Amino acid sequence: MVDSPPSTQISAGEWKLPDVSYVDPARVACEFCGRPIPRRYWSAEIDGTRRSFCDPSHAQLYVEYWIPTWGKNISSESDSTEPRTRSR
Amino acid sequence: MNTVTHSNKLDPVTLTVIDNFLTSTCRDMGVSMMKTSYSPIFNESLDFSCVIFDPEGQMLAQAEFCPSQIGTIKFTVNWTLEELGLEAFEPGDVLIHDDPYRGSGHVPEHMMLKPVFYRNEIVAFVANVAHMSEPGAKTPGGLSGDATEVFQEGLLLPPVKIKRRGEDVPDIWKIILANHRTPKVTYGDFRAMIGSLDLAEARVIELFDTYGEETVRDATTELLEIAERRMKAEIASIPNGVYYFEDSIEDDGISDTAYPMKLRLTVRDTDIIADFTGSAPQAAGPVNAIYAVTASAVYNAFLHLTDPSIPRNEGCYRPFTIIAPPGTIVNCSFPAPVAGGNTETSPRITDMVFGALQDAIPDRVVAACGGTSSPFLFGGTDPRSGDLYAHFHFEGVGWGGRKGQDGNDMVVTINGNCRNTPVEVFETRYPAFLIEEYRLVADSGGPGQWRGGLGGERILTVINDVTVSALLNRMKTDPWGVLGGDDGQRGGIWIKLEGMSDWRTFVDVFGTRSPSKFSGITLHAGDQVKLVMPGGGGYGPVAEREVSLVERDIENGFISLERASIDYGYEPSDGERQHG
Repeated sequence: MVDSPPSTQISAGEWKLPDVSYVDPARVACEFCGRPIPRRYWSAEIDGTRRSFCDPSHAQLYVEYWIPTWGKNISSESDSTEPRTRSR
Repeated sequence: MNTVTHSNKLDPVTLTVIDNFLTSTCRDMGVSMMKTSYSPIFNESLDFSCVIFDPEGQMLAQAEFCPSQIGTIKFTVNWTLEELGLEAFEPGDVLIHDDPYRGSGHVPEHMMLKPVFYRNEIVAFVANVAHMSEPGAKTPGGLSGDATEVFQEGLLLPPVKIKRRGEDVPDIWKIILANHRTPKVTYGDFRAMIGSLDLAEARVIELFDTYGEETVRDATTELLEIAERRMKAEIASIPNGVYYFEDSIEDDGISDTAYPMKLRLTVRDTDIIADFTGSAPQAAGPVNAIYAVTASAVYNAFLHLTDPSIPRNEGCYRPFTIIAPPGTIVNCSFPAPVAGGNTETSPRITDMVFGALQDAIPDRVVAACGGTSSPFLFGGTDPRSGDLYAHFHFEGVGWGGRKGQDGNDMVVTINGNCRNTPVEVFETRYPAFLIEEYRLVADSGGPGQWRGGLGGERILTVINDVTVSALLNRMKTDPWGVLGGDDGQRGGIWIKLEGMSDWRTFVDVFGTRSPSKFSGITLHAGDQVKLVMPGGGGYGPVAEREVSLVERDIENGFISLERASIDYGYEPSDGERQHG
């Protein structure tokens, strides 16, 4: 959606299928969109940090949209930050 | 009826027939529930939705019932299939699920899901979601305006089998019915949902018998692609850009704090990113939306903005990406209360999309609607039978004006699409109130070239002891106008105990923390409640409104002469508008 910084590096990634326990219902949230992931998630390393996503397309959007818009140091999963610019 | 074209493998007639067969099956599922359910929230308000999925979890068709559910049910079904896996399903199974932290909209909305087997393989899932008037919450009706945890909002059900291989699972039924105040009503409504699934299962099998597996699969694959292509073409007509809008939920029932929501909407070619980063942290009270609700509210907005003949399947949602940071009011974390997220925050999010796009597509957007589902919950003991009863009462609001059309008057808000319960049904079913007055409120619609719809007022007199709760919004802030239109009028809820001479707020009389969000207030015979629902925002400058429309509104009592003069510069002596 917007151009990614040229320095961003993304690994190939892999699907992960964690065990789900009915005793501990905690779930992974996608670090791009914030959606709680029921079970299988996409794990990719971006600039040396391993992150969890709904699927590969959200890993790509994390690079193409999230980082240019909000910066590298936060994710949707970790913060609710202020926009850099805003108008109504 | 939808007409489908541009088939690669199938002729357009076959493709269209299959598309309409699937959609009409979903509609028939709803009619079946309407005709066989017990509670008015089903058979009068139609607060349910019906869908068909393929085994991969892609929605193939849905009917036009409750908009807040037609998006969330996608997540509810997907969660169920992903958590359990296809191997968990056997012929005749029916699963039930209402857990918001597993994709359900909020606790009262119960999803039922049934696999459809054909030649020993799962070929589809049929599902419905319906709002139960009594989910076993801390107060009758389920929506407690001052809840602080999801556990206070009803019995949480992860996806579990309520029927296994065609037979009831009595232990599950017993657990649920023991937790609901109205087990007979729940039982009847659950049976209506199951009957609806049985009907859909038979129809899907009929479809496969008629056309064969290969043709049906080719058709559904292509229908998804067609819907995606057509939605992308609609998005392509919106100018590329980044659009912003902010709005807020006025309080959460716990404190007087407002909760801002921020939308950054990116349109690029044929795709959209709706980014809610920067929205307020989740609330202590029950105005939080889960991710699926926020996504559904965005989908709902675009279903209003685009061609209604696009097949309503998974494909039409593919171009949208929704970002909702966890721990915020638009994607709360366990165990925050969520009941009002689906009734109050949802319409606000839909309106925000319109607000953001008002300059980009002025001919298509709508001003803010009354923005509350107006949940007024009550329950008690029926003196005629001794049974407990509970009811979720909707009230209509004014919708926003739009190009060429004034807003709808007194229609349940944009995420609900539900019907008002008729006074006669209300009074007959629930021996709590007499309806003393039920009317449109003049001057409540926002002035504009196209006026906002009118809100309404209802006065109820208590005839038997009753416990009431409320979870209302747009009581402190006005529904905004667009493109120069003015704001609509906010609403309110007031109480007059027997012997009082004037209307007072629930804060004044009962010490509630919010004037419009509270729970568990017991009223007695002779007490009165006044509900005033907001009007909609206006569209376009008032100076552009035709004088004949102002005169029509005066004649119909929709606006007063005084407001006609102040808002529109109307002078009754000669009918000429004085601008300025």
